[in-house]
Amino acid sequence: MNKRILIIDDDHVDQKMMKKSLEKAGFQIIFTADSGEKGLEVARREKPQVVIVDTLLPGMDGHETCRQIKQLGPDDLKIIATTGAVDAVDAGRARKAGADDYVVKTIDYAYVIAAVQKVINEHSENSVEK
Amino acid sequence: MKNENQEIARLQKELGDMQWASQKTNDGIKILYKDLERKNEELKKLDRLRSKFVATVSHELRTPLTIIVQAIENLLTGAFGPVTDSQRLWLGRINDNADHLNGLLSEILDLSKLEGGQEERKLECFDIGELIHRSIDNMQPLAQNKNVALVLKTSNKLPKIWGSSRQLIQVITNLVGNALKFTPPKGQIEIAFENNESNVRVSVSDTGPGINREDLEKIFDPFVQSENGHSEHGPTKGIGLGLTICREIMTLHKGRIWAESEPGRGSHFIFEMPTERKQ
Amino acid sequence: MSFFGFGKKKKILVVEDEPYIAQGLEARLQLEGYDVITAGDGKEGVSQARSERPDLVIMDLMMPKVNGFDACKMLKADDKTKKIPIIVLTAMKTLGNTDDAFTSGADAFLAKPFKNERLLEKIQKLIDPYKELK
Repeated sequence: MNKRILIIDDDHVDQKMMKKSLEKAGFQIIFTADSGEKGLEVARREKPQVVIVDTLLPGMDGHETCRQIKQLGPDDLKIIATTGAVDAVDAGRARKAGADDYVVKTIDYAYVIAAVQKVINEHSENSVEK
Repeated sequence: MKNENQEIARLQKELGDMQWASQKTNDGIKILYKDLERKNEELKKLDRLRSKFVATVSHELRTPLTIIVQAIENLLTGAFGPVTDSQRLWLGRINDNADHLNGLLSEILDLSKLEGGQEERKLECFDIGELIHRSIDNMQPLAQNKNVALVLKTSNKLPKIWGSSRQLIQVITNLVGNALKFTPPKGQIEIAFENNESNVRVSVSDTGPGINREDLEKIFDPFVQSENGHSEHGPTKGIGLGLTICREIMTLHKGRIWAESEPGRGSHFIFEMPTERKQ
Repeated sequence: MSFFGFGKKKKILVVEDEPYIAQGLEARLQLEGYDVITAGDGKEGVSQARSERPDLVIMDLMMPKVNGFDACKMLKADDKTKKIPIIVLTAMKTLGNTDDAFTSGADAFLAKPFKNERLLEKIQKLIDPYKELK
């Protein structure tokens, strides 16, 4: 599948494992960044369709990163906020920052992948493949 | 009018956001529960594998050891032909080393189970003073055999400890056993204990050769050789795992163990644990 | 040899699947004046115990077919054999694995590798109190 996905997470294990899981699920174009600032750069350059961003990041936090990436657009860009622990307040912030989903990272990242697949389907429905 | 509509729209969005966050949080909690269950199953499976491993290794290694020990004993009875003095000597050495192997095997298995964390410990509240008394009494014959004095310095009544009495016995036996290995004849081993409201401290002191400063920490590592040691078998082959096991047991009891010594001035092995009240 | 000559020699059944260990035990026990019969697994052990009625059984805990633990329980449950003392041999002497030996119903246990002296002492206590150990 040629959807472009960007992973922004400062935990290198999570980063690597999520990339592997996505590749297993059939996604071929995956970018990674380990901070909000770097993530923004990559997003500007590579224009991903789905961005996975951890809410806890060093420097610019996950929510601010989410907000700024959303501004970059395009309108149908989907953002998935991830976390190692559930928190209703954090979820609220993610929503306000423009995230489309808020998912907890489990040992096999299955729920993150599922969330990505769900928004991909929405993305495909709402936009024309370029 | 317009402002009211705007306000209503804003509040509705606010409500929607909160409902979203609430839903996502609930979903997340359910997911974490399932994940925890799965991790638990993994751990249980690993523990079962470890138990099976310990049982298999134990059996596989102890069987040939049994054959060796038995064969030597049978040879030494003379039933298979007369045994010369030098044959007796060498047979004795094989036997000693078979014993040594067996001891190491026991320690490796013990350590493996301790580290697995699933070791079945019978936890109870017991009197540590009484336990030490009993252990020392049991070791008196051994000390007498080596012409070493085993002295117990008691103090006021010791408070109770919450833990595994079997493991504590192992610690004492280990420390005194080590002291016996390294104390020359006519030497002395002294066990003393003291306590305050919250902690109990037990020390095992010997009049052996002592330990180098740089080794004081290392001896608690697995299989470290102490060059300074001298047992009746000649230069020490290494203390094995005994002290490592003692350290693990102390950690499990939320205590600690350490050594103090100066070469030529004997050694002191001290362990300290919180009392039942503090625990 | 027994000084007091209380009737016939005592008969010991050794149930052990390792041939060398069985041989070693047989040799030593015969040296001490006991009659020895052997069995190579738990099933054979139980049937030998029933037919030969030995004075004592020495049984390894871990064996193929029927293991020592079950064989021991079977013998203790059977009226014909329940009075026969059983010594079990176990390889598992570490912090607390002697539990199996206890719950098997055996009268005594010995951890492998064992010193023959210890075994002979236990045998003596169980069936030969007037025997002088060599």
